[in-house]
Amino acid sequence: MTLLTTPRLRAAVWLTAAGLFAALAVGRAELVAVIVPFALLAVAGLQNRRLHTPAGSLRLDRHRVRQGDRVDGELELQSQTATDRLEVRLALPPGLVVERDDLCAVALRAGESVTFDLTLRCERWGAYSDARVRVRRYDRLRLLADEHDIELGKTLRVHAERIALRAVARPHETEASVGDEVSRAKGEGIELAELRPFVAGDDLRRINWRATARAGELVVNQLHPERNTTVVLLLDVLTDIGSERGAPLDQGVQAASALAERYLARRDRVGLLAVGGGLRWLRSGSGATQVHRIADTLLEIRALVAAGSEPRLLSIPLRTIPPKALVLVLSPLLEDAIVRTVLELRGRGFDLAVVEIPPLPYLETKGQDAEVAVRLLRLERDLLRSRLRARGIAVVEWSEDRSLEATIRAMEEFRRRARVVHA
Amino acid sequence: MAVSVVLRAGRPALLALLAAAVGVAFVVAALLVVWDNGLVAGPAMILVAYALSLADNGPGLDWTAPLIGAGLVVVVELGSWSLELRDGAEEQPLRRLPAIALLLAASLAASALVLAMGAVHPAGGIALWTVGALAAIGVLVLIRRPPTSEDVGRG
Repeated sequence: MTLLTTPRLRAAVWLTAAGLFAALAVGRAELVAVIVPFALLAVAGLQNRRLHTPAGSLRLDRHRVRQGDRVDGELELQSQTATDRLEVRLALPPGLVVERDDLCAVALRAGESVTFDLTLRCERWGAYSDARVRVRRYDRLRLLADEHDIELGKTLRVHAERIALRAVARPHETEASVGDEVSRAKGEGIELAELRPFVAGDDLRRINWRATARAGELVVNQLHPERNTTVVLLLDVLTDIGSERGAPLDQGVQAASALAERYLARRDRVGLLAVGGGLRWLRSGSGATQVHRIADTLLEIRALVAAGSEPRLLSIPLRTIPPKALVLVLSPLLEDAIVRTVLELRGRGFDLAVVEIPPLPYLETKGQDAEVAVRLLRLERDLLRSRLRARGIAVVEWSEDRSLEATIRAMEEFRRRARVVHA
Repeated sequence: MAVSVVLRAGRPALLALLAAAVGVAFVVAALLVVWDNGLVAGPAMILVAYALSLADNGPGLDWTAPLIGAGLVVVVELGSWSLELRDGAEEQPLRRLPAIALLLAASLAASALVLAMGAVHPAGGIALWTVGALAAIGVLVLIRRPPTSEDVGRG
């Protein structure tokens, strides 16, 4: 709680002081008479330093919503003592906007309570625990005020807009567990891999009778087993540039969320690695629980946005990425640190692909100098893409005119055609 | 009020005029740009103007002093109320008017009482000087530690 003096008390104190000195200097009793009311007010105000804080609670009707949703809530205040003026103001973090409220200054009798209704609009994804209401209460003479915050009882979680996705980038290698991905290995499965001569011990049900009739000896079907894969989503949180139109980080979070849901629906294992001013990772896992874990982790990664100088090299612990995992990097590729990290991971032999989120649509580019700068930036980024592709890394731009689905398909196309280079 | 202070001077006192003008400018600025301290500095300058006008006014008591005091109270009170209303409208703003009227009446009464006491002992000698000095020291002690931002929640 913070105790504040109002302009009334400050004026009373200073006028009293000035008047007394002027009275002594000029030797006139009239000046004392003029400042007597202020002196009495100053004494009254400075004696009364204890105010009773009104109790209150801020409640919302939902605590898990999507970006763009509206949330209704109510603020209840109760005062133990009578108060002449109680000011109520919302102090919301960026991303939450008050759409409607009936907040005003009220006078309360002792024990009386008041309820305000409000509606918030969730403009940006995130976990909002710092939304609060600031209550300022004045004493009876309005000489002192105390201010305190009423915090949201439960964190409001705003998830990014959902993108439905069908395409996936397929890892080069599969894991041992059963899944939806047709493995390159041969074993028990459904997809036909090849035909081969029968050897002792083969399952008789695998004999391909047509091929046997043509070949004149027993021929069996060789199958590809269906296995699951491991995907690690590496999200670049090094910068959070943006404008009213959004931010590359918003797109990155949307993509990470959509990809995680899609892979987990295929019974794959998905992990998350967010790199920014710090590092946050979620071990790869599968199932519905992992969907929620990833969604909740994504909401809190804005705290990782790097502040100040860029780190020279991001050190990623080896255990965070399983050996056969596909690492999907979601990044605007603005910082050298992320480019160096991508190259380093590739150097370690990881299967890697990059969804590039172009930052240009979010930058203000007005004026001739800006146009030249944009052209230079485009050239620089083309060069960077070529450099990464030359190392066998699929880099696909998720531009404004292309859906995430089309981007992932383009990535898969590149990966099918690209010759794998082991550095 | 500033005009009446300046006119009260026997002859147009340049300093009183200047101080009153600055005081009025502070109050107007406080209301226009929501500047709290203008409501402290403005009335203080008007008080200075009044003190300067008294210097030109001869040895007799100025019996309008309680009105000047009440006027300053009104300026501070209404100015502060105006700033408060910009922070949030009140449900029943007129409920405040009786309280302001009471404050005004009390101010007038207190000022008149002090002035009447001053009239009984117009040259109070060493005793009046002592009381004045003690009061000034007391105010200094009070304003030495202003509770502008005090965390009383820990106590």
